[in-house]
Amino acid sequence: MTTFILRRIVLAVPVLLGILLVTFILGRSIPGDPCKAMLGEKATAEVCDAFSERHGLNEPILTQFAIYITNVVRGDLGESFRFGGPVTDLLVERLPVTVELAITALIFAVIVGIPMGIVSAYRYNSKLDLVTMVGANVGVSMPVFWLGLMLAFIFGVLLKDTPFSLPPSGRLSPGVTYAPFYLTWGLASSENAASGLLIFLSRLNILNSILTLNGTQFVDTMRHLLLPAMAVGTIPLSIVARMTRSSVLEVLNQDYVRTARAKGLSEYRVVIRHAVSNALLPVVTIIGLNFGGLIAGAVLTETIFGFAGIGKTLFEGITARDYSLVQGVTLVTAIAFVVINLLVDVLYGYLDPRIRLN
Amino acid sequence: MASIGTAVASLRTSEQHSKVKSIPLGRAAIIVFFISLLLRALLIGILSLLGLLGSTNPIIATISAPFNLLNGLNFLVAIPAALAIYVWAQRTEEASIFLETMNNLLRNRSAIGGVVLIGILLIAGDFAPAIATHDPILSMIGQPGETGRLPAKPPCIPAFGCTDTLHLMGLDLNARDLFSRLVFGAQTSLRVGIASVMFSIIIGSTLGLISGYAGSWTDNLIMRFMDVLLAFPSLLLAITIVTIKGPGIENALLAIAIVSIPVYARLIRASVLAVKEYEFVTAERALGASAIRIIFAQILPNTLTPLIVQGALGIGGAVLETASLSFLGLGAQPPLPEWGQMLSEGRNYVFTAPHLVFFPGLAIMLTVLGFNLLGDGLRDALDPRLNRN
Repeated sequence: MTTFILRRIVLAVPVLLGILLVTFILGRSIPGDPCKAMLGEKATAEVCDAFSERHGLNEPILTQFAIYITNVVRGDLGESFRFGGPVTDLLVERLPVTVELAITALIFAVIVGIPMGIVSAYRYNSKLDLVTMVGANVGVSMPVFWLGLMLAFIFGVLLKDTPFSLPPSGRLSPGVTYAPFYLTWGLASSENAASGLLIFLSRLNILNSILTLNGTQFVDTMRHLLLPAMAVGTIPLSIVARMTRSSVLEVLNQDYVRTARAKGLSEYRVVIRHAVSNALLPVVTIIGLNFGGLIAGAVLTETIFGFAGIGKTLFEGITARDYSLVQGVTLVTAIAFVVINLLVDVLYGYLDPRIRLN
Repeated sequence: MASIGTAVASLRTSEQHSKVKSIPLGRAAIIVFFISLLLRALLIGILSLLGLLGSTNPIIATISAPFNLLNGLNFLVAIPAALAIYVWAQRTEEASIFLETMNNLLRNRSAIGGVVLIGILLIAGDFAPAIATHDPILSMIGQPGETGRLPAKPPCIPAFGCTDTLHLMGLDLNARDLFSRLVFGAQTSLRVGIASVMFSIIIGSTLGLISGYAGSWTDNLIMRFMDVLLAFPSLLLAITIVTIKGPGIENALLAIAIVSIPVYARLIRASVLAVKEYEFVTAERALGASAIRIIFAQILPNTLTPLIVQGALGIGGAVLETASLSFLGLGAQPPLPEWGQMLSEGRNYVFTAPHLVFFPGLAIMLTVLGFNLLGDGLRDALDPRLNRN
C-alpha cells in the first residue's frame, strides 16, 4: 500500500509542474505591459520597477519561471488590484465559503443520487427507471446558474409565506454574526491574532457551529446553503445516479449475486450487501472527477446567491480584468483538483486490492 | 420539385434492388431529414471555422465563398443533397451499412428525441428572420401599437386574452422582443457549439493519431501535456484564457475548443493503440504501405465510432460552456442575441420579471438535452457490443 501511495504521489509531481508551467505561460501572454496589466492602469513607474524586480521580469525566461515557482511555493500569488492585497489572503478568507458549498452539494448529490441509481437499476426498464433516467438527462443539461435563479425564484418568491420558504441570498441572516470557535476555545486572543488556518476553519460555518455547539448558527447556515447546494449538486447528482445505475445493473447480472439469491438470502441483503457494495467502487472515481464541475458550478452559482466565495471573487476579478486574481484562483483549484484525484486514487486502491496490486 | 419527385421514385425502385433490409418510406424520410440536419450542421461548422481563421484573408474568402452560398440556401440545398446521399447509399454495397446504422439509430427513443430537438433548433436558426415576430435588436419603445410600461413586460398572447400586441415571451429590459432574440440566439449557440467541437476534434485527433502511432517519447510528450490540460477544471481554464485574450464570442469559442482538445486526443490515441495491433494493419504494413496511408485508410475509419459519440455529447457541453462564459460577461457581447448573455442581463430582475431568465435558460437546457440524447442514442446504435444484448 505504501509503495502504491508513493508511486501515485511521484506521478502527480510532473502534472503539478505542468500546471505551474501553463499558468506561467498564460500569465506571460497577457497583452501589453505586464505591470500595467497586473497592477492596473494607474501604476506609477516606481511601482512598476519594483514589480518587475520582484517577478524578475528583466531576467531570462527560464529564471522567470523559477522565480514564479519559488513565489508560488512560498504562497505568494501576487497582488489583487481589484481587492487591494495579496491574492493568498483573499483565498484564505474566501475559499472556505466555496469549499463548504461544494461539500454540501456533493453530499446532496451522493445521498440522493446513489439511492436513485440503485432503485432505477433494481426496477430496470420500469416506469420509475424511465422517469429517473429522463430526470438525470435533464439534470445534466441544465445550466447551473439558471437552476439557481429558478430555485431562488420558487423558494424565495412563490413560496414566500409558506413553511417551505428559503432565503434566496446570503450565507447567514442579515446582521447576524457568530463568534468564531478559536475565540470561544481561547486559541487566539482576537480575530487579528488568529493564524490563517484558524481563520480558514472558522469560516466554514457548519464546522464552526458544531465546534461552538451553536444550534442557531447551524440551522441558519443550513437554510441558506440548501438552495445553492441543490443548484450546484444537480449535475453531479445526475451523473452519480446514471453511473450507479449502470454499475449496479452490471453487478446484478453476475454469478455471485445469483449464488446469494440461491442461498435464500433476503432481497435486501442480496441487493445492498452483495451487489451495491461492489457496484459503488466506480462511483467513487466519478465523484472525484466531478470536483472540477463542482468548482465550476460554485463559480457560477455564488454570484446568484450572494456568497462571498472564490466564485464571486473570481467573477468580480474578471469584470475588473484582475489577472493575478484569475491566475491565482485557477492555479489553486487546479492543484486542489490534482490532490483530490490523488486521494480518490489512493482510496480506490484501498477499496479494491486489484488496483493497488496491479 | 420535379427533381425531388424523381428522386423519391428512384428511392422506391432502389429498395427492391438493394441488398439491405428494406426501410419503410416513413423511416426513410426521417433518415433523409436526419442526414440533411447533419449536412447543415457540418456547413455551419466549416463556415464558422473559416470565419475564425480570418474572414478578411483573400484566400480564405475564396475558399469559403461556395460554402457561404450554400449556407444562404441552407435547407434548400441540404435536403436534396441528403436525398442524393440516401439514394447513393442504397445502391452501393459498402455504403449500405451506413443506412443500417441510421436505421438502428432512429429506432432508438432517445436518439429520436435528440433529432427532434436539434431539428427544431437548426430550423429556428436558419429561418430566424421568418420565425421571429420582431426585430431582435430593435427596442419596442415608440413602435406603433405598443402600450403600457415596456421594459421587462411579461408575455402577452392575444389568444389567451391579452389585449396588447403579441409578445410570445414578453420583452427584455431594453424592451426588445424576447422570443425573437431567442430565435436568433439559436444561430449563435449552434455556431459556437459545432465549430468549437470541430476545432477540438481536428487538433485533438491529429495529436492522438501522432501520439498513438508514433509511440515512445513523442507519445509521452503529447500525452503528459494533455494530462496537464485535463488537470484544470475546464471551465476555469476557459475563463482564464478568455480573460487574458479579451472577452468576445470568438475567443470564447477558441477557449472552449482548447480545453476540450485532451478529451479527443486521449480517445483517438486509445483507439489507435487498439487498432494498430490488428492483423489487417500489420498486413498493410507488410505490403509496404506508408505510415500516412495506414493512418488515414486503415486506422482513422476504425476510430470514428467513439469520436462521433463524444462529438455529439461535446456539442452539448460546448453550448453549456458558451452560455456560462457569456453569463460571466466573457462570451457574446451585447447587442448580439446569445442565451447566456440574455440570462445574465435578466438575473438581477428574476424576482420581478422571471420570464427574462426562464426562457433563455429553457432554450439552453433543451439544446444541451438534444445533443446529449443524440449522443446517448448514437452510442447505443454504433456500439456493436450493446446491440447483441
